[in-house]
Amino acid sequence: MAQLGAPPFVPLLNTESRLGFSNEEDLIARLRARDLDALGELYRELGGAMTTLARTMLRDADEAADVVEDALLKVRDAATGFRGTRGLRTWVLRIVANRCRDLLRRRRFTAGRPEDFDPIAEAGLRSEPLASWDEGIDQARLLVVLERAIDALPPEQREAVVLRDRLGLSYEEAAETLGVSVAAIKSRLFRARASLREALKPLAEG
Amino acid sequence: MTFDPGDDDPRLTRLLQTVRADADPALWTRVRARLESRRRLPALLAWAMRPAALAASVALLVVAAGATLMLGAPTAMLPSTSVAASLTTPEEEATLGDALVAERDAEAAPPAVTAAPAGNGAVRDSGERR
Repeated sequence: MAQLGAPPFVPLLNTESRLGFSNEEDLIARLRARDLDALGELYRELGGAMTTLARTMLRDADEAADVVEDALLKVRDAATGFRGTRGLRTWVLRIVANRCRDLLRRRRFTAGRPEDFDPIAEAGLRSEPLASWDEGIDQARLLVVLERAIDALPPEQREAVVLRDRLGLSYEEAAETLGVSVAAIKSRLFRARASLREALKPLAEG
Repeated sequence: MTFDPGDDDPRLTRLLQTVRADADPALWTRVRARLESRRRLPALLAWAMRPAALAASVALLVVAAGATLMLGAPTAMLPSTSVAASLTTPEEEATLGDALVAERDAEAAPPAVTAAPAGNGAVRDSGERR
């Protein structure tokens, strides 16, 4: 039965509040009770992070949408068995990360990216101009180079960069999301950041 | 928290955070519609559409078909009949029976015609008309 009283969907765009729940326990209880509005609330809170993770990992807006859709259905089906020990955000992002890994494994031997590949537009991502960018560098070009470098990272390093640096998860949360130790996350991030800095070096020097 | 500021690169992090995606309201509409249509489905039909239920239905169908075949052809499954006998038709059985009876009668009865001793009195059959 359609719930006519459901509020219109308004995604949260604020970075700080994007990953926080006002009452996580209550939301988990409602998800367990298969409350459809609770799932909508979860998507309103975490949809941006889910979509950012999927699009950055896959660089394909349609595939990413399928992943997020599947993840929401999985959350709905598996919520009754969710114990809540891991944290809702970590659990949901883990589902998305696992689905992305499955897809990436399947497309391991596909053709490479074309020369003029725009990693931001192709993935359906958007960039916000940095207000305090005074280094005389073409910011748009810098971001394209950065996204290409992220795309070239091994998937496990890419996941770590997205979760920690792009979405702002703590090391513990990122480790729990990916099912690895904090030390492993730090190691992946160290290598990933070194590769990204290396990719940006010519622009910074030029 | 094991957060170590020394591990992070604020400049790189700032750049990385400028690129992101927003939640898509159309996606939520799609998911909601899927879940509501799933909810409207009668419970029995929803159960029947599960792979395990489909497999169980197929197995049941096979068992039922087998049982029907067994009930429809009872003579074929009699333990005393051999495979070869079960393959013969009633007409063939009658013909074989008749043949056996005729053979037994033939053995019991004296020969109707005995061979004539070779000699003078023998009539030769030259094949000519008399």
